[in-house]
Amino acid sequence: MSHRPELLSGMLDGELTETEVAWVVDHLDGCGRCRMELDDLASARAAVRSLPMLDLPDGIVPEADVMRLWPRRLATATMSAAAAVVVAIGALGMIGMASDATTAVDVSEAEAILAATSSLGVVSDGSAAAELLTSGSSARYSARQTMACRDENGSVGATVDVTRVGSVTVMADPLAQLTVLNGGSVSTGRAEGPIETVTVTGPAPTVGDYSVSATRREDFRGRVTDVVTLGLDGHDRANLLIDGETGVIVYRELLDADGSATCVLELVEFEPIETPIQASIPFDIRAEVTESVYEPVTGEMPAQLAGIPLVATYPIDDGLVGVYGDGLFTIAVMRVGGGRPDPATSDQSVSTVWESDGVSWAVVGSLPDDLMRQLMASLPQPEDANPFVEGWRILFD
Amino acid sequence: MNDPSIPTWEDVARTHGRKIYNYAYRLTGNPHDAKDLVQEVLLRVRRGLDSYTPGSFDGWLWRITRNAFLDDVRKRKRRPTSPLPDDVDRLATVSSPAADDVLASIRLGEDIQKALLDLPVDFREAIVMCDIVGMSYEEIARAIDSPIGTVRSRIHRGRKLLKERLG
Repeated sequence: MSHRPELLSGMLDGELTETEVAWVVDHLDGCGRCRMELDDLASARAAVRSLPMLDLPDGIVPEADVMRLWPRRLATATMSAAAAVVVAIGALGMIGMASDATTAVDVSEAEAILAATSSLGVVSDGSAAAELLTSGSSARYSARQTMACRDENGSVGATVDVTRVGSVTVMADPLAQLTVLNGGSVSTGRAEGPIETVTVTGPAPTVGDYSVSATRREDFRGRVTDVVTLGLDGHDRANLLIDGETGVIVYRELLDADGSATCVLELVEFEPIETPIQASIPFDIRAEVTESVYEPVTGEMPAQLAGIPLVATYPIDDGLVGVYGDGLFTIAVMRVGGGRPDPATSDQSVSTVWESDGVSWAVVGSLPDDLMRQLMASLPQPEDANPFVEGWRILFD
Repeated sequence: MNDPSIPTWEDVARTHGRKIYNYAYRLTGNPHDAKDLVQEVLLRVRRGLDSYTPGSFDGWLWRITRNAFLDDVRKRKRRPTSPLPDDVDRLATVSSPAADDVLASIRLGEDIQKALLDLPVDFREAIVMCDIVGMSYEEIARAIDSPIGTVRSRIHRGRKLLKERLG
């Protein structure tokens, strides 16, 4: 006699089809073992259902705790006038993030949006901007950022702590073209109106193919935030939230055609650093993965990826971070542990993390598409049926 | 946010807050953790409503809730603590004729809660969603992003383990 015990709980819950119910009823008639199991299941089900429904405690009002959404340090962070022109998010742009195929954004469009958002020259301090723009001078900056990579449900997949040191050159041309040389990458954005009023609300109507609109508002904590929205064909495709005080992009999300966020980057900590800048080192990235669920791994990072040499290797709690840079591009690759992911959190991933042969990998940063394909192709390929793989397929199939 | 089919944040807190709290309480076994989790979920909902598009709101909400719980599990990496000792002590001193019954009921509830906490988290979650929150298998499947067959299996195996622990 065949038994189908998994149908018994469904029977109790009214979750079977008529055909299945008929089969179970018929089977129970001649199977004492399954009748006993059904009694046990009913007993366990009744026990859980006997637990009282508790009232919601007083005091669950997010207003009181809304500060938790914002980093403490950001609230008090101030930047030097020179550092206020930093457009710091570009090198940290995620190469893609989506939790499942139904929310995937078109690859080329996602990359275009990333490029467009990265190219927005953001200057919040009007006086500093005016000074820099009129002098055409360079400014050095250093900043430390902690970025949380989240999926569209707001779940943190990984936290990446990055210290960036570099130089920024801001130049104005007669057409009010704002050019930002951010480390090795060059960004441009157009400013409308007089140079003195260049702020986050001032980008020109378009960046690339994208329309730009900007509004200034107070968030629910009372902090001034500039919201820049990029649209394409009448649809919003990306939002940037820029701290009104520092000009730092604190939040960036990509939207799919339906307006749902598919990729969210959120700055959770920002701290200016006063350390002197080593002229011979164009950048300095320190990355660490926190709250990892993996076992540590050791080993060496590849000497080069996509022709970009390994500049530095940093040990972290769970493995290694390799920073690759050639003066023009910078990207970090992490080997963040071995063994199997914790089943309880195995779907709490971002698409830039995948598992291969017991080792988990993550890539932070963005490259031109052809270089990114080369880089990915030279790393161990993800395994089938791995929850981390979804984003990979979306981006690189 | 003018779409009437999209609830406001306050609507979510009012209509779903209690369910989320009970879900969190039965999963964590700790009223403080449960309260924190509800706070976190409501914050995420508040932030996410701006980008939410009409569809399966419950599915969206429960995915957020579940993710918040799993994030918390990862962060804490510790066993949940057992609830209710304070209540038991307090009730034990009450001389009402019904006190024994109340106490027995609470102790039984405590046993059930402990047995729940002993279950693997996947099984515990499926059972809490089904028997505490009152979700259908299909709703659970959407929330945990798994096939209905997986839901059915987890509930079934969870109940079997629960019965073994409760005797």
